Amino acid sequence: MTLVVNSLDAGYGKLAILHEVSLEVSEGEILTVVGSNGAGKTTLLRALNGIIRPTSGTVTLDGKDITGRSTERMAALGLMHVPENRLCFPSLTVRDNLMLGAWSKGGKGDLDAVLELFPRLQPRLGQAAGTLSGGEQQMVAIGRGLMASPKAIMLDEPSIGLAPKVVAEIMKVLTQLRERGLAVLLVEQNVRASFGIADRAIVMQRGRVVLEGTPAELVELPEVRNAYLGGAAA
Amino acid sequence: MSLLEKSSPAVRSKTGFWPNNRSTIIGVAILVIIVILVPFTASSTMMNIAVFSMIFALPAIGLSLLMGLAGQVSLGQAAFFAIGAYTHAILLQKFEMPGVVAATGGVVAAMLAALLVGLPMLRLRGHYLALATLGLGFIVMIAVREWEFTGRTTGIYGFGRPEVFGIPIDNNGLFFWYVAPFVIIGLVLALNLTRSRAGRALSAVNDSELAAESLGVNTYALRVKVFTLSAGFAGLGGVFYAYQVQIVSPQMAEFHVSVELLLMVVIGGLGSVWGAVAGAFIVELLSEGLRDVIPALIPGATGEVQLIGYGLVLVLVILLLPGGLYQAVQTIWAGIRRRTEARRTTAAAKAAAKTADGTADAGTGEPPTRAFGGVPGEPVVPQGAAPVEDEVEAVLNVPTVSTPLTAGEPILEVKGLTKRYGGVVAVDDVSFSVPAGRIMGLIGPNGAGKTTCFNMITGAITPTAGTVTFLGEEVQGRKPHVGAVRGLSRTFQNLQVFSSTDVLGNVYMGRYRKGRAGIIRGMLGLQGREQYRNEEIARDILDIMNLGDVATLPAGDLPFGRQRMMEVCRALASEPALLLLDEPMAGLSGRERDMLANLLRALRDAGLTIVLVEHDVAQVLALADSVAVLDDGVLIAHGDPESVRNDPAVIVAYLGTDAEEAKHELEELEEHA
Amino acid sequence: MTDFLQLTAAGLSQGSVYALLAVGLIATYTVRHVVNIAQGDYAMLAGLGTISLLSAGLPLPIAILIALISVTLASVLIERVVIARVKNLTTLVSIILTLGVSTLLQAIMLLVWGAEGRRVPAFPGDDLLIGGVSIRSQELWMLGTLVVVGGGILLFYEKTRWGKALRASAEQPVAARIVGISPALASVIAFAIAGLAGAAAGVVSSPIYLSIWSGGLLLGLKGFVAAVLGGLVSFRAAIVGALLLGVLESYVAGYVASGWKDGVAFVILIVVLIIRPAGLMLRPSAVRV
Repeated sequence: MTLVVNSLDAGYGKLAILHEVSLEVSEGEILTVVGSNGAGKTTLLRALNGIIRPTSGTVTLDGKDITGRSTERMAALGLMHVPENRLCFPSLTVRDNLMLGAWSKGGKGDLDAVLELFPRLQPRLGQAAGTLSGGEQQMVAIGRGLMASPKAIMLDEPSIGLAPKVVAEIMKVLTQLRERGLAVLLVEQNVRASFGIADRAIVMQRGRVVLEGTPAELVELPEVRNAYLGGAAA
Repeated sequence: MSLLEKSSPAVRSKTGFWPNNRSTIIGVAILVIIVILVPFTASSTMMNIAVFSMIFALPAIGLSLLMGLAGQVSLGQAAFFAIGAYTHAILLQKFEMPGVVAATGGVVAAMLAALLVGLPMLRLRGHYLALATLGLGFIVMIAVREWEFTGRTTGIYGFGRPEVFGIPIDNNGLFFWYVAPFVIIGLVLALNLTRSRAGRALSAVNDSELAAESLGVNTYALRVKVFTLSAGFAGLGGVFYAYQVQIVSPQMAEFHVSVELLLMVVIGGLGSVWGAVAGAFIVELLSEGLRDVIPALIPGATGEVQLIGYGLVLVLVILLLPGGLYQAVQTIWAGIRRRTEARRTTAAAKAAAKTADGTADAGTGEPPTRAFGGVPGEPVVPQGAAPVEDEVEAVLNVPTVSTPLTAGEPILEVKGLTKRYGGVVAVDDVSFSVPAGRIMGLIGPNGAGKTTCFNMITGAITPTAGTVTFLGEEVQGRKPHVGAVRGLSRTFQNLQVFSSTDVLGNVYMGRYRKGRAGIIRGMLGLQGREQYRNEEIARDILDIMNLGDVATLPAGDLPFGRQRMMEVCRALASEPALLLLDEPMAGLSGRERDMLANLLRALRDAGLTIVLVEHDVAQVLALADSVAVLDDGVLIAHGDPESVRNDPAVIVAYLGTDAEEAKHELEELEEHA
Repeated sequence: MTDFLQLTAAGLSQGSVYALLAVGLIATYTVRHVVNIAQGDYAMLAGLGTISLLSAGLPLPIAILIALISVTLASVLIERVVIARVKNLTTLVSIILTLGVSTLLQAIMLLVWGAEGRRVPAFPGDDLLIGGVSIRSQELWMLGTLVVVGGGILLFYEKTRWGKALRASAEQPVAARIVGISPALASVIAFAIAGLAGAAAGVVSSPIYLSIWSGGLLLGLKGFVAAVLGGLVSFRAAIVGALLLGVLESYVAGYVASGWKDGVAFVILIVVLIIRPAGLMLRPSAVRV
């Protein structure tokens, strides 16, 4: 198992959000985490990535305990976070954005490999990232994360605000990452998109993991259909 | 039932000019006794220190109000001090005005100067006021130094001492008694202000500016008023300073005087009025001591040597005791109380143990439901949360609402609303209208522009184009308080709780737009009836909404769901004509959602218009009378829930696939249900 | 006309000093959101330090070098000992803290060097006379320092890996941490830049404008006004603004009265903030959706 989370509790100040969250992602696997707004998905990623400190529980990466390590150490340890809303560096060029992704490796990253995944970025390398479309910015954010050659990558709502075609493009890239042996943790509200590519899925509710299984199994459950697909499909 | 119109019970106005809470009365009484006794007991050196600490306490109180209430800092408090002193001296010496007139002139001049600086600077957040006041200090110093009229570097002197009933105030003891009443009254006024409607609004602003403004608080105007008031205190201090030292000179406006005043407030405790008075005394003592000690330690040191102490103390206090003296006293006091209480409870426990050996009811929480293929269980109520009231119907007791229009008339009209960020269009030419007395749902996939749209309606964001008409008046691009005072109330997706006060205090803030008392009435304590009535109404709303049991808890300590309900209470307390809810269901449990949905229906039936932005589409379709759907910033559908439900464009937007497949998926789901 | 050109030249050289201070202020503001009130004190400290090192017998270049390094280190020390210690650094707290540091620095200078203002001897070189306008060699040194130090800092931010990391840290602190850029390190570098820029300004201006314990505050305030002209984020706009400020001050001193010169910055601050609160930047800052 590449990324193992065991009974994690976390929150903001007095406000406890996560309760005993456990999950595992192996090499070459996509695990998707779904749940409604406020279910604690983003908090989970923040706790895994050290932006907030877990109050109890452990996080291990390739058997190494990385619980509560500071965010800026995580890239070097092999865990990469692609944050919600992309957070590109707007005034820097696409090339600079990508190269900063390799900061933890002393600035030496495989730019060509990333451009192979995202050929659309090739002609934009010299352009300021702030001038790109939302989809392209998402590609920059993912590409930036890949520049650190992580073992596990966590994505927070990569489909947010993107046209369906672009979402499909992004999801395809995630399957390519799986082929390259990465452990992929995908947090999504767009259940259709994420269930389409995930190997396994967990459902969170009010800070807890309430269901776990393959998308095919989960999608059959009436509760999941009504609560997520049904709700979303209107 | 008619809660808000109920005949006001004879609420005794508990506020008034003089303080009514016990510790404040004791504090003021002790201060008065000290003031009376000091001139009889103090040595001449101490008397000198005492007089100057009284004089400097005035600008320090002003500064502490500015820092505590407006969250801003002035690095030029000495400038207002000097303006007061110079104006006073000029009016006395060159125009031979009576003392009272000259002193009033000094205070007014300082306040006018503050208005001049504050009007442009307080529009901006951050460092601008601080740096601008620092600049003002230099300007004032340059001006009085360069101007013939102000006596250049020599300054102005020879304007005589004050007289009271023919008695010249010509020694330190008399002068101390002469200043002290002003300080005590100033202190009481300042304390009243912090407890008043305006003061509480300003603390709310410091917790969440967005939430306070959306309840009708005009942050900018209040800040300008507090800044002006703060300068008035400084000006009064300057008047007394001129009397005491009998000369005004450019050095008064010097920067180190401003540092000294800032130090008084920091030592006393940021925002604590009592602290400012105590700080004034400590700094005067410190300054006297440093002037003796430092030359002794470092031979040859001359000039403003006490500065080294000021700098050190300033940094150390902020690093080690950020709340200053006030915090230290509070901590010690709390410690004492805890100890006495602990003693009392152990005694009580011993007594109880004798009577019965109670078996502790170990209420272990239900383990989390986590079963593959299982049913998602009702999540366990987090520890510390009071259980949600059993009867959903209990909620149907709703506060009355103001209904300025008959049902069906448009209360809110949005036309051509557009927001661009650089090249990205977040909301594109959206138009719809909301009929009064109905619930409208605004839905759309993540990132569709719902929240942007919502924020443009409430005034949190200025639209690039288009109009928002609320009750016949265009409100787009105006600050949130503009719509709020007309009856547009909102809640927030990310909770905006006033964490420095309790639950009752939060809901009381909802009454802000119904109150009238301003800063002056607040200082004079002439708003008791209004304040207590509004508090009573806030308490009643909490009771109706099943939050009465937590009214006195710090708002930040409530569990998430109840904080959300508290925000709804706060919005309702303002008796809105239109209630806007931003993702009210997010993070609520199934039961809480049902409760909220029932409440919203009941409010609608009582005549309230509700717009709700929601992610939970099923809830919206079940609840709303009409639904608007946004996708990628464009309004793709608007109509009754049934037609929206079957609109192919909506299905495509949500499922991101082609219409055919979506249709199929939908039918399958309906079969299932 | 000669007068006018003469005043312009003097204003530009004075403005280059403000420009360096503005660059230092922006460096710390962008990364830490701290307007460092002690920024001007760095300049005075460096000038006074150079004077002491010279009187100890060191040659001018060595003395300057040591002074620059010392003040840069002092700025880093202040960041580590004072700024980094505060968890919740609000605007209010940052103002009070840096004000405390500034007061402390002033007091130390007063105790060590006394109340009298002193000068570093003029740097070597001949004064220039162009079309009746005489330009002092020291003024050329001042402009040259802006070009070298200010330009160097600009190049650092635009071309180097570390400079880009600093910008990343300023624009998206969370994303910068995610890729592994340490916010603590970014803050230290920013304060080092601020120390260097302030010290360079102080040493090169000392022969004309004196080094005195109490001089830093006003100098820092003028640097702040220039920085506001650049919206507190744009180095280039701030440098242009600083040169303008210097020239305007010079005209006021020449045509009105020298005593009123120091009021110009304040009037500009108020006027600019009324007209354009975002500063005089021509391009809006990078779009964030």
